[in-house]
Amino acid sequence: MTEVRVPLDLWAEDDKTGSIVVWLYPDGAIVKEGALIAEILVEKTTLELYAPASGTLKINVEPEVVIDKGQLVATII
Amino acid sequence: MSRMLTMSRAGREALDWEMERRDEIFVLGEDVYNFGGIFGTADGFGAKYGPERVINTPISETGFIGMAAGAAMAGMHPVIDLAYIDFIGVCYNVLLNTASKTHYMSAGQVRVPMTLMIGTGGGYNNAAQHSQCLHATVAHIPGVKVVYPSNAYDAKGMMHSALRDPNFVIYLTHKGTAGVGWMGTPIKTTLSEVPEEPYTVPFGKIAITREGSDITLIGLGMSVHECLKAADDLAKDGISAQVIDLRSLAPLDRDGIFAAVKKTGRMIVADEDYLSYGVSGEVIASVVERDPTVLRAAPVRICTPDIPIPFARSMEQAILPLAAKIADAARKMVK
Repeated sequence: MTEVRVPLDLWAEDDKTGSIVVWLYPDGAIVKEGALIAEILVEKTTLELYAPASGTLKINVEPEVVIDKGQLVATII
Repeated sequence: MSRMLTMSRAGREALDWEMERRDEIFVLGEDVYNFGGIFGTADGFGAKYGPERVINTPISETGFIGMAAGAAMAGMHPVIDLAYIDFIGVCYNVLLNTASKTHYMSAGQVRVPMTLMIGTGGGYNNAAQHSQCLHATVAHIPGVKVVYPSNAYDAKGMMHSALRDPNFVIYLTHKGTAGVGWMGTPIKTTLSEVPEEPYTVPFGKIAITREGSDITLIGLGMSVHECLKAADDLAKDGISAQVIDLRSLAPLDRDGIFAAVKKTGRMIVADEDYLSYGVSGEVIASVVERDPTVLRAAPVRICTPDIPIPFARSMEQAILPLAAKIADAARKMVK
C-alpha cells in the first residue's frame, strides 16, 4: 500500500491551504504510477497531483474540503 | 481504464499536441505566459515553448487581435485567449471585416487560420459586464465558424479540429463548464473519458446527449447541463426528455435539430444568451420553416431576459435558464 499525500513542495507558502477540485479517477479505479489523478486548488492556481505508485485508488478526501500540505488524501493498494 | 478530464485540461492537451508538432502555432493573450490564460488552456506553455510562442499581450484586444489576423494571413496559426466575450466589442472590426471576409474577398487566395478562444456566461455573480454569453453576436457573422463544446471529450476533439481548420474559428467555453478550480467543483456532466491520442470532432453536428421520446430539450454550453438536470427531474414524473447539445453554432446542424424534434414533437430551447435575436429563435426557425406540423405544441424559449445581468446572487439566479424553469415549462407542454 502506498500513501498519496499532498507533496510538501506543491506550493511554496506554509500558511496557505488548498482543496481538491476533482479526482480524475473514480474511487476503486486502477491507476498507473505517474498518472495525473487529481487537481488541487490553492487560491486561484490549479496544481496537479500524480499517482506515486500503480494500483487501486482508494480516495480518502472528497473535493471542496480544506487540505494541507503533507496531508493523506488517498491510498493506492 | 477510464481517464476523466475537465474541459480545460482536455483542450490544453489538444493544443499542446498540435504545438509540439507545428511551429506555426503560437498563443497570445493577457496572462498566457505565466497564468496559462483564463482556463489554463496554456498552463505551463510559457516555460515549455518560450516567450516567442506564448506571448503576453497588453490589455489591448483591438491591437492583438489585429496582429493575430495579420500573422494568420502570413502563414502562422495564432491561438488567441480572449478571456471574456464581454470585451469582444473592441475586436469587432477584425472579426466582422478582416478575419471572416479575407478568404472570400481574395477569391480563396488568402487564408486566415486562427483560433479565438473566448469564455462566456455567468452564474457566479460577476455582474453585467463579465457575465454575458453573446454567442449569437459572433455566430451572426458570415465567414466565421463558431463552436461551443460542453464536455471534455468535445473540448479536445473540437480544439484539434479548430487548430487544423484552414480558416477562422471561434472556440467558445462557458466559464462554468470549463472545470477550473476557481469556478468551484466541476459539473459532473462536463467531465468525460478522454482518449490520450489525438482525435477530431467535426463541426456542424449536434449531439444527442440523452435519449427521450416525449420532449426535446435543446441546449448549448452551460444550458446543456441544465437540460440534463431538468431531464433527470422530469423522469421522476414519468416524462422522457431527449437532450440535444448544439455543439456548433456556425455551421448549425439544422437537419439534426429537425430530425430530433420530429421524433418527440415538442421542443424547448434553453439558452443563457439574451432572449431576443438569439440562437434560441434560430433553432426554432430551423424546425418551423421546414415543417411546422411536426410540432404538437408551440415551441418555448427559456433564455436570459433582455436586461443587464444583475450582480446580486438572488437576482442573477432568478433570471438564468436553470433546470427548474426548463422542467416547469416541459411539464406544462407535455400535459
